[in-house]
Amino acid sequence: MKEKIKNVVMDSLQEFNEEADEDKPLEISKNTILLDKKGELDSLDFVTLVIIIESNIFNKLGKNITIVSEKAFSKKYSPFKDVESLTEFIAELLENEK
Amino acid sequence: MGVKITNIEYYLPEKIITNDQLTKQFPDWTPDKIERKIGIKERHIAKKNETALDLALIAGKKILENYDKDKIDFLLLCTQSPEYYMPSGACILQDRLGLNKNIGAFDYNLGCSGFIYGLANAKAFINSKIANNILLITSDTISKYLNHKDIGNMIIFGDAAGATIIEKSKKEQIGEFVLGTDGSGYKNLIVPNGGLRHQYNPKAKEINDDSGNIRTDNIFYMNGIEVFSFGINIVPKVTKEILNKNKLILNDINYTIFHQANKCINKYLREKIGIQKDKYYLNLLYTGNTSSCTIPIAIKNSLDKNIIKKGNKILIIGFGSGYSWGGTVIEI
Repeated sequence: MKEKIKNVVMDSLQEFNEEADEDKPLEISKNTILLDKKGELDSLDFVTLVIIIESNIFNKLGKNITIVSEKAFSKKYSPFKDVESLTEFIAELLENEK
Repeated sequence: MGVKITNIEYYLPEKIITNDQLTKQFPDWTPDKIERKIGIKERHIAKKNETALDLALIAGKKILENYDKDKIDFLLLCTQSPEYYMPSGACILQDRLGLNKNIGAFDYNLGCSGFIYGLANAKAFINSKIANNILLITSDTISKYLNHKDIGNMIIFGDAAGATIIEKSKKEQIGEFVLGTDGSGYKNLIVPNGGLRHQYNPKAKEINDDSGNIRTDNIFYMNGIEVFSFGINIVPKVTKEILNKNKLILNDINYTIFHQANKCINKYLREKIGIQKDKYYLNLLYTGNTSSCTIPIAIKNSLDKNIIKKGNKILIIGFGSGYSWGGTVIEI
């Protein structure tokens, strides 16, 4: 399942790059830094990316999730740091949904 | 007996800041990029000596052109940009609008939920026979709190004033309210200095945030991600609560107007809640986010464009600083 989620996140990064049309596109890799001091995303970019990911999770995995929540912010380590941590967090959300 | 909105007017300051102007200052932010990201082309900004009370006065005069001002027996002013700590701006406005002296008037301090709370207060005052014809004015000049180096907020916010008349009516046209507050989020939308806890500090240090926005504690701060999280989690819940309380389902709603935060959040909310595109107001292009004024501006524009028709059920929800939120269903 995690592999499927990671693929959805990576596809979403690609879609984000196409949609955002930024000078500096995001690297499509599991190590891509998202919301971190070293990251390329500002808060508006991040919101755009979240919308794309949630929509793709619904379209490709048939699950309706809300990624950004109090639960996400209460975690010791931010689930939004990079692709890897976001994948883990989405897997956890989907697991809890069962 | 019921309560209804009789009329709405609004005023936008003459001075306009376009995306092209912002691009000159922030070359990384092209006009297209700004519009694509937040759905805003222009925002109206109050002049140096123009206050929220000045805007409120113009909006108030505008609505009273077609209404007998002697009928107004209560004045509510919602603002987060007051002229003075004391007195209440509503008292000054009573005099400047030439309203009778035997009316109640007060200010209340709320941001993007302010219009909803004004309607709730007006309905309660009318139902309890405290007043019959209420003038509700929402007015803010958030631009005064912004640092010209803070691109993140400069692109989003505009100034405005909205004026609404609420009256007794035969049929109930303002439904049941859902109101909510979560003060644990107060630090996420705040002007830290300037009140009595932390007074304005002319030597406040400039802070450069992770997104390259430069601000000080004397000016407006918004934690974009936290506020996004608050908005997208609370609005779908409140939508359900309002529909339940009013014994309606989403399909019964002819049109939905949420506080116009920015294109990103509002688009997300529409999709998450499952509202049809043609039943959803999303238009910040020429106003930006005007805090407590976005909902009255949206209702007025929708009426003028004949998008909202007589007898339509309109779901309205405001959410923002505090955190504070509220909503109801109205019929015009």
